[in-house]
Amino acid sequence: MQLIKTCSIIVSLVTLSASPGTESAIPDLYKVMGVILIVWLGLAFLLFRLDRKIARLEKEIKNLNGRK
Amino acid sequence: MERRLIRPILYSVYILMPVTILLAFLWAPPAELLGEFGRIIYFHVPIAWVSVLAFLVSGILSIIHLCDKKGRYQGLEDKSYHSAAIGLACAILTVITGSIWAKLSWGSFWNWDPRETSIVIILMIYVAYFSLHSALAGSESRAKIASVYLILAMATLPFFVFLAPRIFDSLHPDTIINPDRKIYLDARMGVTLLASVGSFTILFVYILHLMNRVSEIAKHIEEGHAAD
Repeated sequence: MQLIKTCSIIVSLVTLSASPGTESAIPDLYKVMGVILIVWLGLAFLLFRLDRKIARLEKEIKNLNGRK
Repeated sequence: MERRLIRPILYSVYILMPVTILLAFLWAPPAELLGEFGRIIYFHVPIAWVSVLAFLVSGILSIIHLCDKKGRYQGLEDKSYHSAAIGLACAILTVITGSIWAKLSWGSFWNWDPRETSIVIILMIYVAYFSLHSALAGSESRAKIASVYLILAMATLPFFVFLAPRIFDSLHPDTIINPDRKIYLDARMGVTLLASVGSFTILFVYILHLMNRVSEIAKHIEEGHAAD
């Protein structure tokens, strides 16, 4: 939950900085790309953590079955 | 052994997806007429493709589940449910990305274009599936009824996805259905689109794989509790 909050804050900050009202040297195309890359990094991090946790649980179940 | 072969393919998404994003923004040229915002094609089309693929997978798994009288394949009902869930999420994302694109190209978020109308109907069909699935909780016939519904839902897909937008006049860009029967895409745009479709397909398989593993663990824990 904490992670989702942090990701959403980062995305909203980047989106705000990319709003047309603010003048910046970075072209809009790169700002959009940055937002999408940040979203992907957040998703990738979540997926990787989930994968590791599932693998750990599977290992524990395997060990328990082995003991039985 | 099987997992050892699949894992490298699934993990490749961690590299392929950022590469696809970079290709879409830095390598592919801006689309003719559509300009820079035409780059949304590299996200909208693959997500729509994954949505259809996920619905097809859920339907095919349901057919196998119904034909498998001896119970050789375990957990097919859960797998088809997960696939339909991913398909529904992708269909919603397709509507969102499509609406943004429609606003930029046609001036309005929603235009009741045949493709837009058909995706709303598909969304309603699959939302009804989830209602049915939860309404039948605890019932012995849930797996069978849900599987039959998913097969019927899959049977409607060719009409809503491929036929309806071609029967009625559509605002959508026609890339394949034209007198020459050719895809009018720049070579670099075509490569980027293919890379994007590939990345999103692997992402779909990866998420489905994770969801199936979670449900296997849950089933294992339930069986353990029942045995105690």
